[in-house]
Amino acid sequence: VSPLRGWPALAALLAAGTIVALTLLAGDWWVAAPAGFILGILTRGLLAPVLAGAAGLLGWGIPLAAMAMQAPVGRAAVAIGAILGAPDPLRGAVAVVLTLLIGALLGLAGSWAGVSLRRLSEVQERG
Amino acid sequence: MERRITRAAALLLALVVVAGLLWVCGGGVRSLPAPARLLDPVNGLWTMAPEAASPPQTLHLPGLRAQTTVTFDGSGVPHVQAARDDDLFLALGYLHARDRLFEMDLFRRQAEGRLAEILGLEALSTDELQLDLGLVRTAQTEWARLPGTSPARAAVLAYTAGVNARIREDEATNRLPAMFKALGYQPWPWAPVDSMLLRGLLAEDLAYQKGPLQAVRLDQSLGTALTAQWFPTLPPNEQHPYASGGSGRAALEAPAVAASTPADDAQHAVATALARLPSVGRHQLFGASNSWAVDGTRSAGGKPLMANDPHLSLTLPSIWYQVDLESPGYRVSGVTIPGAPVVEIGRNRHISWGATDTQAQATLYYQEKTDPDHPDQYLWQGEWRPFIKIPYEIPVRGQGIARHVTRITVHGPVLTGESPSLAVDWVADSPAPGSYDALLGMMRASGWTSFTDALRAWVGPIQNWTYADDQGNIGLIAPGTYPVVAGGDPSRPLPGTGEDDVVGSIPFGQVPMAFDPPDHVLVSANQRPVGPDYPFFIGGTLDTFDPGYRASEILSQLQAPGRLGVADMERIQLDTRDQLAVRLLPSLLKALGSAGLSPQQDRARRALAGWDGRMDASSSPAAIWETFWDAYLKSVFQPWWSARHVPLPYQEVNVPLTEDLEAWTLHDPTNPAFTPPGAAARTAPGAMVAAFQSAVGELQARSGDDIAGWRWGDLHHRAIPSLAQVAGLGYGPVPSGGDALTPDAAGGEPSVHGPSWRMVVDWGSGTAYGIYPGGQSEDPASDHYRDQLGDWLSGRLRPMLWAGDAARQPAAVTVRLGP
Repeated sequence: VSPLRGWPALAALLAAGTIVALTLLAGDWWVAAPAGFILGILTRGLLAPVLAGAAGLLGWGIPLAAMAMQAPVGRAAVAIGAILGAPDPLRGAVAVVLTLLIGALLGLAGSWAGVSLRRLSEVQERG
Repeated sequence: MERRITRAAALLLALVVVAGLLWVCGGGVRSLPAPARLLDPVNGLWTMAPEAASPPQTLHLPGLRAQTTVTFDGSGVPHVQAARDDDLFLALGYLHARDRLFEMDLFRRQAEGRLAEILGLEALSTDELQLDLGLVRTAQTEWARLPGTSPARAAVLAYTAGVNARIREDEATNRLPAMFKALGYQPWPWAPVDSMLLRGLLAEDLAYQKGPLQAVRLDQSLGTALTAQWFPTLPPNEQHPYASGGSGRAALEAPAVAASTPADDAQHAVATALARLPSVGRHQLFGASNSWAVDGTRSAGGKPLMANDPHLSLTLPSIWYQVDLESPGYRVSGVTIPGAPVVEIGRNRHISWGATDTQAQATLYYQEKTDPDHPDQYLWQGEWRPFIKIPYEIPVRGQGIARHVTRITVHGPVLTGESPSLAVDWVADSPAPGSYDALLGMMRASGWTSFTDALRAWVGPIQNWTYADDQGNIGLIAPGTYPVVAGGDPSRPLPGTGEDDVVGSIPFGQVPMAFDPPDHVLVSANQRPVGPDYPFFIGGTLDTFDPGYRASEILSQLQAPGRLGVADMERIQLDTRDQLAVRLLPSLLKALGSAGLSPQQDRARRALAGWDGRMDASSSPAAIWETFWDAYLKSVFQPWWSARHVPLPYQEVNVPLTEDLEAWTLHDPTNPAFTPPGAAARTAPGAMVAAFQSAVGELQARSGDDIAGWRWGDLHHRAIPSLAQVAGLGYGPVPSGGDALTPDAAGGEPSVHGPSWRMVVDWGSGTAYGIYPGGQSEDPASDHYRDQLGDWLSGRLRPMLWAGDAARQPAAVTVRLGP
């Protein structure tokens, strides 16, 4: 399979982000990792972790953004920051950043495994 | 080949890292919750945001028989209108669980001794104590004994169904309250026994007393003579009981059996029991609630005015949840406790009622007689009887199961080890299945007779119930089980061999009571409710009644010239005048007038000279007074405590010591107590001058030379911690006025105890007002998490509306609950 780049890569990012967000609705918080894994296989170089991390971030960010349209996400963020023990002025930011970070980390870790698998298969094809 | 191996190793490493990340994110580390599940934006803590949004306009509530309407007013207070009584309680259960499920679960876990299951090892000793005290055993018995025809049974069953409907809904939508997710557990279904448990928990907070144990420690260290003098049955200072008694002071003092110093092993048992009880009966330490009523001759509206502000531990969310309930059998508005299907304090169309804690002694300790020749047995009425042993398994988070055995005698649970055995007989150890029927009866009452009839079933905690009605009557009554013993001194542990057992209670007709008094005013602020002529022993000064300064201050305000209105009631609830300061200031100033003071001390004296006794946060005389008072109390009593090696801090028994010091300063300034053991003779004026000089030095060192900068609010703060002990979800500490003795009570530093609900009912206009610190919702993202706090802090009350008026508010939201 030829590696993705340009518009197809962007489309893959949006698709992966959407899938991650939709599967969160079903309680499957871990899907960002396999999504990153697939993006790692389908892309090359730095693009793989960037796309995978962004997909995880997007997937975890979309529900928050949608929720913010009709619910007090800001107050919830401050409360979550307080529960996590964050200091006063940073509570809301800490909650949002940590949430998005988890999505991004899952995507990044998945992409590392995907890239590793692709590289191993390339060696085997040549050898 | 080498390259292949390297890349295979890289893949393996990547897979291991991914697996590890998934494991940490999804499973957590040790007892920490899983971060991905916690922060999952759809199912984690973030669900508090959509949960805080407005409710849908229609809701399906399984179990409802007919459509029920709930109108939430601008404060989030639900106004429930149901066509059937059981639907009313079903809806109430649903609403409690909707807004306070975590609080309800925490209450029942605390009462059942199952906190360690969610909090770990640190809560194990609390759980063991709770299992010993036996709230759950009592609640089970109460539920079993509640007759099938009892209105309370029907109410509790419907209420339980409502709570469980909401729990199921929360689980199905992954929207359990945030703290369940933070702590990583799910609530089990609500049971009727859980509602019974809450009554016991309230009794534990309000009426568990340690006085007899403290008395033993004082007898043993301070000596029986000094203990008897300093901790008498009747208060030595001026107080204002609201009820007159019968006759016979001799009967009152009958328990005054010469105290003997118990043997070492008994002392050890007392020390062991006291060490286990630091957190129970907290109300005794800060005990403070106000309630009063004036009749139509004193009010501007020509009908009674009633006010109540029960003082409890303040938390976010509050212990209270405000409601307005309407069904064929009930039309009542006031505050409920989440978990209980009743309005505890409020009004209906004809009467209003409030409560303060009586603090009468209802906790007795029994020293059980044991013998190595009779293992696992105790002697009672000449016969060796086996201890009843109940084994418990306590789940401890991250630690497995802990085992605990509770031993019980005829008197109650044993608080100590094998030998000696100290058992406790206390109010929540006696099943009181009639409590909810009593409260439901009050909710339905239409006059004094039906009100007091309902209270005949009340066992405890013994409360002073304030009453006012639309017919112009006011009243105060303190019904409940006041234990009467066959012999012995109930202010000390009694022998458990049978001769000093409880043989009855004060008859209902003789409990403290007043109705339509000739002076047209009734006040209860935890002061001893009866005068010296009352014929029964109901407790002494140690660890029981309030010193009476709040009651005196409130009475002085109510008896001032002029007719009273709602604004006056509001003003008195916020009153920060310290009557102790008002009484003692002339003596202090007189003593200082003849003392050699430094210029700084003289400036402080002049500041006090022009002071009105108000403990306002911005007041520098208030800072000087309180620092002086602490120093005065310490300078008089600490030397005795040190010399006699008293094993409990004098601050733990400072209520009677405050009464003593006031009485001696005013009427007995040469009392030998002023002379420290082994020191040169001293009198009250000398001790006051020394304490004043020390206080000025302390304030100068702390706040500088400028007396105007010594503000009471810099020394004294108020805080309202979050129930979940999350610092960022609480309030404060902020500078605060008031102290433990002012009507707007704020004892402790920081003060976390105070007016938990302020209510005023004006029968002239038929209106009522209330406010509590916090808000209706426990969801920190909700508009109603602490939206009442600002008004509470500034002393504004909010109208307690009936449903029709609430529905006309612009911010009202009406929800139809359908079967």
